Amino acid sequence: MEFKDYYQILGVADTAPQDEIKRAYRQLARKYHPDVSKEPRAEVRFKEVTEAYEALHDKEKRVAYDHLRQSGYRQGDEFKPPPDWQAQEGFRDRGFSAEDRADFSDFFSSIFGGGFKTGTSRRRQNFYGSDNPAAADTYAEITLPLVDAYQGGEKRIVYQSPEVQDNGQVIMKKHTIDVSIPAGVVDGQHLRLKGLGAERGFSGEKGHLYLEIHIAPHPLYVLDGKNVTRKLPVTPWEAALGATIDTTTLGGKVKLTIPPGSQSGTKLRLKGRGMPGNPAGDQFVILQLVNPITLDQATEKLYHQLAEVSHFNPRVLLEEAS
Amino acid sequence: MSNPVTKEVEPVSHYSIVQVCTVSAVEKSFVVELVQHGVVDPEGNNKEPDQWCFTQTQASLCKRAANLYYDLQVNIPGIGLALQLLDELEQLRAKVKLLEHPLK
Repeated sequence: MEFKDYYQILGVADTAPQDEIKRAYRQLARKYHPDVSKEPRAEVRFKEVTEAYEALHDKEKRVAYDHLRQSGYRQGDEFKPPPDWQAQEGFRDRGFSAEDRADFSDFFSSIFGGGFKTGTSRRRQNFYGSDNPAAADTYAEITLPLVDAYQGGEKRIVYQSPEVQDNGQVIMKKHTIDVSIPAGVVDGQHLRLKGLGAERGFSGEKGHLYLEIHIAPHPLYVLDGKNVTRKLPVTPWEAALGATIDTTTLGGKVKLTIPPGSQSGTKLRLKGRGMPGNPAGDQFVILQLVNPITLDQATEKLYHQLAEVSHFNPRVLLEEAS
Repeated sequence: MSNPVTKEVEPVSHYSIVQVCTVSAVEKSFVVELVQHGVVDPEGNNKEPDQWCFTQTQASLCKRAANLYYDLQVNIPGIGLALQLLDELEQLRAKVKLLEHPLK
């Protein structure tokens, strides 16, 4: 496994005091938090900085980590924990669940045995540790391409649910199932799969699995609930004279009528052409006027004629207002 | 290894407070606090929490609020403001994407 330089990840010197480590972590956590950031790989970066902070903010862990790092390891080096590491440091198995460990890298787990008390873990411990009736229900996420969300279909998912062992220990067990995704699911929607959660107390009754849908961004379409919006380039003469042109929707090609006198930014609606449902969403098309980059002789001549004939001045209103 | 059996799903359109707790992995008291601070406004919020009814958008809002609270230590009044600003930012980003030059 790869050695992780937690100081480099947080952008601090290895002599940095605890308050500087905390400050660096908070700044990076805000920058890369998946609910806030649109940076590429934000979620991965957020996990890295959280792991680095977990290792460095705890004095005991930091001393142990520094001890390893002083052996000359650098970011990305092949790493193997020393054979006597477990007995020496005594970090392993402090009673954290397999689910907690799953959030951190193998590198972290090999040193500290997994487990962390920040953010998500504390939240899970509160949630599952309480007598919350929802604690028997379990939860998983799936990210679908927009086209799959539109069409629906079968998808394979892997999820974890808590399971009590014979010795009374609770572990997170992995399950693989195929689910039939209905057509027209939207971002953030939940699908319930009955009886796939954990056992509720000793009743024998099982909780449910809630599957949260995420839809990956699409290069052409912007999704807002069940409505879909796309931009559509049109020529100046199509916009001025009106036209009927072919355009794509998620459901296939349609003919779209551009009214005469359309402008860049004109928004047209294709009713019921958004995500399927009852009612189905709409597709919106935003027109964008595009001029030819180069003009052939005939077109250039026509533009010259137009310039001579037309009295249209789009700046008049602006100049009158100033 | 045999293929797993395909499971039928049931789309959730409205959420009870218990379901919101499941999908956000939070305790009931946290959701109650969000409602008391006006961060989310479920139907029937003048009744007991077990009678509240959340839409999908409100359930997602509770989850994002929990993420901000536990991951970034934002307090609940701050969460209300942060979520409002993040929503505006999201809408502006979507508009910018649609206004960018089509041949870019």
